[in-house]
Formats: sequence, C-alpha cells, structure tokens
Amino acid sequence: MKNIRNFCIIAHIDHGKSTLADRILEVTGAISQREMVHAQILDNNALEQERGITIKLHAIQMDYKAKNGEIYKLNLIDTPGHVDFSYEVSRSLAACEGAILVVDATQGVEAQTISNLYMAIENDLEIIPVLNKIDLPAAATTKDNVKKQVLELIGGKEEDIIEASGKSGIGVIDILEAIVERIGPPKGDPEAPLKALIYDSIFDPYQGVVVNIRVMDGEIKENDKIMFMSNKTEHIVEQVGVMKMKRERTKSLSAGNVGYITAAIKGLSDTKVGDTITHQKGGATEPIGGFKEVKPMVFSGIYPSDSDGFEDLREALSKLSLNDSAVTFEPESSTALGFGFRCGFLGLLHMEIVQERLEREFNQTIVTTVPNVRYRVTKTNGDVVQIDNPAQMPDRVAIVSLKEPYIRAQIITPDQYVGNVMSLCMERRAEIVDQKYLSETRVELIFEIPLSEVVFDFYDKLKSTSRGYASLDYEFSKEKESDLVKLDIMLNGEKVDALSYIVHRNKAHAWGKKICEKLKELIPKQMFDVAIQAGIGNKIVARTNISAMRKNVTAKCYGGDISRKRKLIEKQKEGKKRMKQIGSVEVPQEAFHAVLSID
Amino acid sequence: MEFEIFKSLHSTEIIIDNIFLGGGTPSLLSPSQLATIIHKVKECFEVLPNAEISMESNPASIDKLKLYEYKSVGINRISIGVQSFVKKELGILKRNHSPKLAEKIVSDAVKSGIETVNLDLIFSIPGQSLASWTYSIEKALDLGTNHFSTYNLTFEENTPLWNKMQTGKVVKYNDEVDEFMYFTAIEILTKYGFDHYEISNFAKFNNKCRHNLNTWNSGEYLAFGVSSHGFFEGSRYKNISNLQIYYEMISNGKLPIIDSEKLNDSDYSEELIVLGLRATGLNKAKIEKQMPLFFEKSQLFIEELLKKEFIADSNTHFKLTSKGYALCDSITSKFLNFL
Repeated sequence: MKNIRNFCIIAHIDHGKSTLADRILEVTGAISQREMVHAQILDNNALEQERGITIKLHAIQMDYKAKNGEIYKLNLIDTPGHVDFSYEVSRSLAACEGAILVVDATQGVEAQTISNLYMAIENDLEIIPVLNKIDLPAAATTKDNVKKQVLELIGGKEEDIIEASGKSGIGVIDILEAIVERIGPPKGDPEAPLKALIYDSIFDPYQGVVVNIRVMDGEIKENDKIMFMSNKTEHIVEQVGVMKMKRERTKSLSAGNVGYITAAIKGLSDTKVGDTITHQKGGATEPIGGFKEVKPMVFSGIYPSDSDGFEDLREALSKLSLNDSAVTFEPESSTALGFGFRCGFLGLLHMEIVQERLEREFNQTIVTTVPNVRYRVTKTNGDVVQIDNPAQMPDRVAIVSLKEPYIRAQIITPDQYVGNVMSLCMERRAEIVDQKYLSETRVELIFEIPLSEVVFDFYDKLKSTSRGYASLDYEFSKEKESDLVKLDIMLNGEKVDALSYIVHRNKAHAWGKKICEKLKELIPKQMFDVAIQAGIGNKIVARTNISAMRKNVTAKCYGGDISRKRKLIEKQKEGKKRMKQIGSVEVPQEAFHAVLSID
Repeated sequence: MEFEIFKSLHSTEIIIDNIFLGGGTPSLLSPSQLATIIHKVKECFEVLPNAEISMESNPASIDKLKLYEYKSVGINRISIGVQSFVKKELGILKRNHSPKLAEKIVSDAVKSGIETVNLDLIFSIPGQSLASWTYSIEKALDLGTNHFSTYNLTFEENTPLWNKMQTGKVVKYNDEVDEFMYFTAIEILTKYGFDHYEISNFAKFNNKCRHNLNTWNSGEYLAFGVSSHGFFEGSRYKNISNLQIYYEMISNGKLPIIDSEKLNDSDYSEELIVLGLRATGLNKAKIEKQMPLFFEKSQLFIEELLKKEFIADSNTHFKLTSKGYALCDSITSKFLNFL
C-alpha cells in the first residue's frame, strides 16, 4: 500500500489538463507513442473531444519507477470539468489523496478551479500546484502574477509550484516525483470490513455495469457477495480488476487500491455515485460519508419530431440512461407536441449533452421545449406539490405560495468588468452576498440568484459582458418564495401549452413582448392572419400579428417542369413534417425553443 | 429522324391534337425549316385537321414577312415574349427589343391572321409601378392580343438579377405588391372578357391553349428534340441536353431519352392535385375514383377554403378563386397532406 498514489487533476477547461495527462501517461509508459495518435486519451467520447470537456469519469493506472529506485502504482482519477457535475467531482476527489492543480500560466485561476480546489482541500487532499503552458511566450510576463494568485489560494512556498508544459513535456518528471514524494500513500485497513467508494460507473453492453471503485478498507474479491449500502441491493462480484489502457483483471483489490468490479448489474440506477459497497456478511456498519442522491435541477420536454416516434424515443432514452444515470425521464403529453417526455438534467450543459447524444448516437429527431426549474407550490387546500412543467402550474387562485430554487454563484472576473457583471446579475434578480479581491486585479463575487434566471444564456452573457474573462461556478443553495406568474402564449386564441413559461411578475410584460416578437420572426406567414398573444391568466400582456401571406405561387408550370415541381413539393412536404400544427397554425419546431434566443 | 425512330418503336396509332414548338427561340428557324418539321410530324402521326400548331417567339427574331409565312405553313398560335412595353423595364430584364418593335410585331402578328396571339407579360419588375403595369396590359389589348400569360418576376439563384438583388442594386417587391399587381391583371382582363383559365393564363373565347390545358389535365404528350420533356404511357421522360450526343444517338437509331420516370399511383394522385389546382380545379369524380378517402380527409380544410373564398364549388370541380390562385402553392401543399 505504501507504493500506491491516488491523485486527480483539477483544472479549468482549456487550461490543458488532458494534454498534460496524456504526457504523464506517455512518460510512465502506460501508453505508447503509437497509441498517442489519437491525442487526449481520457476524453474518449466524440462529444467530449469536440467540446474539450470531460463528461464521464475515467481512471487509469500507471507504473512509475521513481528516482529513489522504487516502483509506484499511480492511479490517475479524472474529474469532469463542468459545474453541472460538481457532485461527481467531489466523489472522485474523495477517492484520492492528492490533486494536481493545473493553472494556465497565461490565464490565471478561474472560478471553477477554485471551487474544485476548495472541495479538494475539504477532502484533505495534498495539492501540487502546476503552472501549465509555461512555454507560451506570454507566460514570461504573466507567470509571476499567476504564481502569486496560486499561493494566495493554497498558501505554501513559491518553489512548490511546478512549471510545466503538456505540449512539450517540460516538468512532467517533476510532477511525477512530486506525486510520489508529496502525496501520502493511501490510509485504510486491509483487515477491516470492506468499504469501497463508488466514484463512477459506466455501462458496457457485454458486461453490464462496470463500477469504478476506490477500496477504503478491507478487500474485495471475485465471487464475493456484496451489497450497495444506500439501497441494500445485493450482487455477486464477477470480475475485479484495474484500469490500464484496457481493463485488466486482478481478481481482488485491497484497501488503498482503485479499480473496477462487474457483478451482472443491468442498469445504472442501482449503482449510485458516492455509495459504499460492503460485504453482505460481516460488512461495514457505517457507509463512507458524503453520499448524496443526485437530483435533476433543470427540466425540459423532449418530444419526437414525428408523432409516430414516441416508442423509439422511449427506447433511446432508456438506452441512454444506461450510461447516464443522472438523466430522468417521465412520459408527458402536450396538446401542441403530442406524446413525449419530461426530462430532468443536472444542469444546462448536461441537458445539451443528452439532447445531442439522442440525435447523434440514437438518430432521434427531437423537439425540445424551453428548460425550466422545479417549483414548490403550496396550494390553498394545504397540498404542497412540485412542478417541473410550467403547463401544469395550478391556477393562481389555488396557490398560496410559490418557491423557486436559488443558487449560490461564484464569479471571478478581472476588476474592469465588475460593473458589467454586477448589472447582468442584477437584471437576473441576483442578491450580492460577498465581494473580495483575490489579487490586485481579480475580483471574486458571490451572488444568490434564482436558478431559473441562469438556466439559459446567463453563462454566454457573462462571457460576452466580460470579453470571455469572467468564470462561473455555482451550487444549489435553497428554495425561496418569489412572486412568480405563469405566462401563457396563445396562437389565434389557442393556448400553446409547450410555450407556457414561469416568470417573475415584474418581468412578465417585457418577456411577453419579447416572446411574441420572437415568435413572429420564427413562424412563417400562413394563409390567414395569426394573432400571437401573451397572457397571465385572462389578462393579455402582449400581442402581435403575423399578417397573412399574400402571394405564393409558382407562375410557370409547363410540361418540363412537372417532375421538377413534384420533387419540390415533396421536399416542402418533408419540411412540413417538421412543423407542428397548433389549431390551424403551422409552427416550426425551433419556435418551442424561442425563449432561449431572446436578448 | 427522331419522329421516325419513335414511330418504328411504337406500333399503336397516335393521334395528335396539337403541336407545340417551344423552348429556346423557334422563331430563329426559317419558315421553310418549320414547314419541314410540321410536315414530318404529319407524315409520322395522325394529326387532326383542326390541330393547334403553336410556336414561341421573340420580337427581335421575327418580322412581318416571317409571320405571314408562319401562317401559311400552318402555325395558328404564336406566343410572343414581349414581357413589357416599357423601355426601362425591358432594360432590367435584359431584353434586346424596344417597346416600339414589340408593338409593331404584335400588331403584325394580329394582322397576319394567326388565330391566337399570346403575349408573355411580366410583373413585379423592380421599379415597375401599377400604372406602368396597367399600361403594358392595355397596350396589348389595344393591339388586339387574344391570349395573355402573366408572370410574376422570379429571382433565380445565381442569375445577374439575383446577384443585383443580393448586392442591393435592385429591390424585390414583397408579396403584397405581387398580389396587388396580379389582382390588377385579373381585374382588367376579366373586364375585357378574358377567361382566367389557369393561374397565369387568360384567353378570349376559344383561344385557350390546348397544349397547356392538356398538360394540366395530366394528358399525354410526346417530346422531340434536345432537352425536351414528354409524358407517354404513364412515364414522364426527358431527352438528352447535349446536342452532340443527341445527334449520335439519333444516327444510331436510338431514342435520345436520358431520364424516364414511370408514375406510380401516389405520383399520379399528387399530379391530379398539383395540376388540377393550377387550372380547371380539383376534378371531383376523377379524384374520388383515384383516392376514395381524399375528400373525407380534407373536408375541414375544404370548408375553411370555401368560407375564406379561396376556392369555389362548381359541383363538378373545386376551383381556386383569384384569391386562391395567389396562394396556389400553399394550398396545394396543404392538400397534399391528405394523400
């Protein structure tokens, strides 16, 4: 056990984590140059590579012969790099004893790095600060300042900071030596009852669920009878092993080790991240602390674009949820969109990823509605209900109070953008909680903001208002009562349930107006006038009109044109399939997303 | 040659009701060349004595003498691509004839005794006013025109006009102006006793174009020559557009067909709707026979169209009104949803 080191890498997107990880794998011989052809081994999902982020966790074991002559087993546990997945990050940190803090020498510390760093410090991890991209010309002028920022955050001495470059390999050996020297070996009692932390699980079509674990105490072996402590489900272990470039069976894992098990588990719903595995007989009595049930925070309707596609979509969602346990889905129906699903996501990025995977991996053509949060409604009859679909909001008269989720947002920005960031947050009903200078020019701002105000475009707006410099991290804080109303959209007098939206009373008029204008842009002219109205209850707060199309006719049609014309019409018909019929109005599918593109 | 090859391959007797010489500018041919063609058709097929023999022309490629000669070789319908009687508008359309020449040619054509004289006129030309549009129509009426084809100017992608629109040098009118110009033409021409018998076509008494009517009624027609289209024995086909290959194929005794598509049941149903709506209307009996459920499925839509006066019910047909013609494409595509 004394020659095991478990560590992770904490970094902001783009600060070069994956490239640095690749170099480490290469130097330790975990992968050959030849295997490096496809750079960035850890991000092995196409979507991850495209977006430059890690969605699912990965782990890899390396053997490293240190300068002291001993051979160490180094387990690199990767962490996802986005706010939506902060709980997963916390669990993978819990599986480690140390963390490499990677900061771009030219960009400095970002909000997300800080929050992950704080999490690592809370978990008592040894932090190894690394200044990456040190070979960039700009680094020469920025690195001292960035070093100062890092020291302010974690304390320590300047010489503890390792200068490195994932691209050229500078400092990689220093990092490996630091891992061996500074990070302690794992603690834990191999003789104690089994306690293994689940920090991730993936679905493998041949083996079922592959559970990634860190053994804290005891030992787990093949054929052991085990139990997941949170839900008491029982299984028999089939395979035990470690992750190298491929899975390698070791038959057993003892305290301090990181590896995987399989146990003929059919779905991910049993294997919850953060849960503890123990033996059915003589097992541990107390689970490892910190376990949480992950709850979706953002909801959206997902409908098949073609109404025949409901069953296909259900199957696609079921398959997708095999390796994404965080997504939830329940059937719902909408008068405008037919039968579909109300899906829950950890956050906006997670939502986008799910939608994209449905389209790319499962070939679904889907219509998605505007995302919303979950509201807690106290009704006049005393019932308390949770609403995650605005169309189901009870009548105003039946509501005593309405609560919405707030987040605690941490924003770090260069000081010249503080004003912009402040006014953006104030527009979003934020309350400022704290403001402090991290260095002479960098400010940390803490806000309480309703989650509904950040679910769309907040991050983009923050980026554009700060010319890309501000960074955001957030965590759920609490539910608060708000004066919210349901804004309904009517087309020719017919309510379009999929467009209903919950909004603060003070913003309802302005929103109504903007949505009407946006819809006017998106809905093509029809054969008759179309009235677009936004209303609260029976009160109309905004309206506009799409005047009827006046002329739409191909003037010439001679013999030669007939085949061509028919093909043209068939193409139009395909286009129409993507339109949804609401009353007599044909609405393009983008319209259901309209609110997302409002300024 | 092509006529003979066709004839050698088909034993059934084919009766010809009309001959249409069009595509490009047949008026570039000399009257004697035209006579040869017409003669050849008559030799190979049974051409009815009162058949319509129609040709397309440009004002710049014909003159008084040619017109009289056309008449004498049997041409009884001529279509003249006048487009406008306003100089500025002809300039925008890049037409190489003057209004004066156009006037003279039309007048000569009428005087030549060719029974039907059709003018192509274009509206919604950038810069065109309602007054100048009315002027062109009335000028044509004064000259004795008895058939009109009026077309909304289209901006075809990658044409010089399209490029000008993209760079903002000319402005395309919106659909309201289009509609207004279109309705103006309908109003004037129906006032002068013209029958608005197809979206773009107006005719006096028995001057309706038989060739076009046949097309819109899903009738058969044979194609001869480079790049021509035909419809025969349930197939729509197209001749090759490369002249050299065309010659080679013909001299090898082959028909120069490059593309042929046998209409299946649903293609045929689609065409019944698409073509019917453009002209005589939806033929209730024909459609009922082809698609027994069609009118049941489209009942609500038809009621709505009747209420909004987009169509009229003549017992045998549902025919578009002027208002309906203006939205023909939208209405057609909605009807096709009921197939």
